[in-house]
Amino acid sequence: MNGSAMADAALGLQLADVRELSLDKLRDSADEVLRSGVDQLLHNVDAFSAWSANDDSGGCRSRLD
Amino acid sequence: MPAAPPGRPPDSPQIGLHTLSGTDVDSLALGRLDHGVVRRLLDAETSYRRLALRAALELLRVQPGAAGPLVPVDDAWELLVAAERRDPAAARAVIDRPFTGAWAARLLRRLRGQPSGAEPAGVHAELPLWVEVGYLHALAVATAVRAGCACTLAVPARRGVVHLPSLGHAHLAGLDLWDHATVEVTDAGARVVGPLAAVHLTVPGHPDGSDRPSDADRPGDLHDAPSQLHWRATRSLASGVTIEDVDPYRQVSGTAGPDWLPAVQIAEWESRLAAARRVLRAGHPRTAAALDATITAIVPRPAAQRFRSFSATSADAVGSVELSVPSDGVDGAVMLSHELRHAVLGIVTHLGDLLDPAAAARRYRVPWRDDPRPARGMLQGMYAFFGVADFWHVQRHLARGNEAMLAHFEFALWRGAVFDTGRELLRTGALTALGRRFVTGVVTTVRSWLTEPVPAEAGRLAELATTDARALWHVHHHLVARSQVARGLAAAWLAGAQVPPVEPAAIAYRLDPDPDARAFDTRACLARLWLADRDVFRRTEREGAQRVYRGASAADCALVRGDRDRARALYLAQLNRPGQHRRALVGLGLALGADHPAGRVLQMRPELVAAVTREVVRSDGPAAAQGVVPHLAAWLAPLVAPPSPAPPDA
Repeated sequence: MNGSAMADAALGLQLADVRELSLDKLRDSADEVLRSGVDQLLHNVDAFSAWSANDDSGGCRSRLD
Repeated sequence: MPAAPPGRPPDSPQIGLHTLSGTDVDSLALGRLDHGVVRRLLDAETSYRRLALRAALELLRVQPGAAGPLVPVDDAWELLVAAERRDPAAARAVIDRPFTGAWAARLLRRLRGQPSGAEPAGVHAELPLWVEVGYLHALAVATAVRAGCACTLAVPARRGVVHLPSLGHAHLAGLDLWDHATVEVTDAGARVVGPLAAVHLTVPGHPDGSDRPSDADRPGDLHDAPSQLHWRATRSLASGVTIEDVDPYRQVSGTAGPDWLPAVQIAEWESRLAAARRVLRAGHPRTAAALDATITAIVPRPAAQRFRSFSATSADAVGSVELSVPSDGVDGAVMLSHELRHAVLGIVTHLGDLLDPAAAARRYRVPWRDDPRPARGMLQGMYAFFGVADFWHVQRHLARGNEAMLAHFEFALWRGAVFDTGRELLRTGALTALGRRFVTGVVTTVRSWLTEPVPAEAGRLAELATTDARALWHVHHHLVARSQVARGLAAAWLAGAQVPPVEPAAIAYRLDPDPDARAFDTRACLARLWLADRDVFRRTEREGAQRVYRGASAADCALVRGDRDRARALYLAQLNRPGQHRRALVGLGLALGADHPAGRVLQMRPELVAAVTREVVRSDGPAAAQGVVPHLAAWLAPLVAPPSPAPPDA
């Protein structure tokens, strides 16, 4: 792994690529990469809920009503 | 964020990794929308949605009764598997839609006992779980219909409406509020069977597909079927973008019933969106290309007031945009440019954390809202308005006449808003290292725009709108932290003394959100109208600006026109009337100007003036405050330091 690749890996911007996985395998696979992707998604779901609980709603527009 | 996944196992050749490089992040932060980067993001989002399906299946597996009267979830999934085997494209057409993501995210939050986005707590209770789960059954049937896969399956009916994702919907009579109906797919076609009638389906894009409603069967014992029974196919525009006015998961704010726009409105959307695309392709080709790749569905919302267009994107439903009807091509182009950045950033945040989740509790000012926002809202809005500033940066050189003046105003307004918000974000400590890198890139880009000249009138009004929004925010949401200090200042004022020396910490403020704060952009809207259409502005002023823009006054109109003397007199008259006049207080500061001691204090610390004035009234009655605001503000000036200019590399 060269320096640039190492720096990119350190950023950690990645996600399991399951596009080519058939739907039966998507349900049943015990693959660790897939497992990590599901955990990553659930982490995001939880984080979103934490923000939502602090009134992070309504987008970018002023309230008028 | 969980630990990085391990490398690809040798026995799982199909599961690789989507990755985004540091160079990719920098290019997004610097405003470029390189096709390759956008493509990689969209591919990752496809995986993200499918991972959400897997996560939902896992959680539903431990709730075997979750499907209620419908067949078990595994049976519905088996139908999906069979339909995909028969026609993989059919599965992609149904599953890889923004609303699948919105549904899955909502279901996951429900199954994990969390609030659902913008909806109030407890909202899940209204919608039975099995109805929510049953969207999966509807996905399976819709795929089976597209694939020609014979089946019979019950799907949910919400308030008499059976919706099959990507295909369309049917109203059926004789159903309860939350009920189900059966879909039959055979070699002869597909139909939805309700208690009183059956309705044939058509598939959008197929030779027999049609936007016209199909008739209901009325065999023998179903002769009482009401005449409104029909199937309505999902409609798409010539560009291929779907107009989604039915899917229950199409709105950011929560589940919604069908709207079903009449054909004349669909034609209007076709026209307005085509105009927006022309504007973008002519002057903003990279944005146009990124939008073409990203946005697959428009969710129509009602027309909004001029200069107050509405648009929204959910990170759960990337690829879908809620829009109010654009007033013209430029309005549509601006909204789409804004939402595109939300979509891009939404996907980036699916790949990695830009914000420390622990920072969720604090709230901050953002220039585009009238209420305090958490850091996530700051970050999302900053990047979305970065897209807006970028649009006007170019558009102001393409527009002519009044439109050019308006474009210069918007550019000056939003470059400042993005720059200020980005710098504030960097100060909050809410960003991860990745987030700091991203925001620094945006701030660096916008800093290079700050010195670009704009016409004087556009610049004057942009500065006025910026100062106005900041001061209104202060006077609504800030309280002088130590009320006894305000009382002491009031006593000194009433005694005719000089303002006493007070440590800055003693008059510090604390956040105290005002839930009734509204429409901080009223004077900005008047400024836009002044720049865009003088005749309409003058008519609005004559007929009463408050009839068009909430809280607007004749003083505001005078201020926007540049008649500061008249504005000052009118604001003073407002302040002499009983009641709270925070908008007039700030307006007076704007009319006096920052070079006037009272104007500077009213612009920078209006809440301090308001607090001392309240104490004056409390002590000596309302008469003691008559006409004193500018004098009191000037008296307080030694306590309010002039703003220090931002260093160029700050």
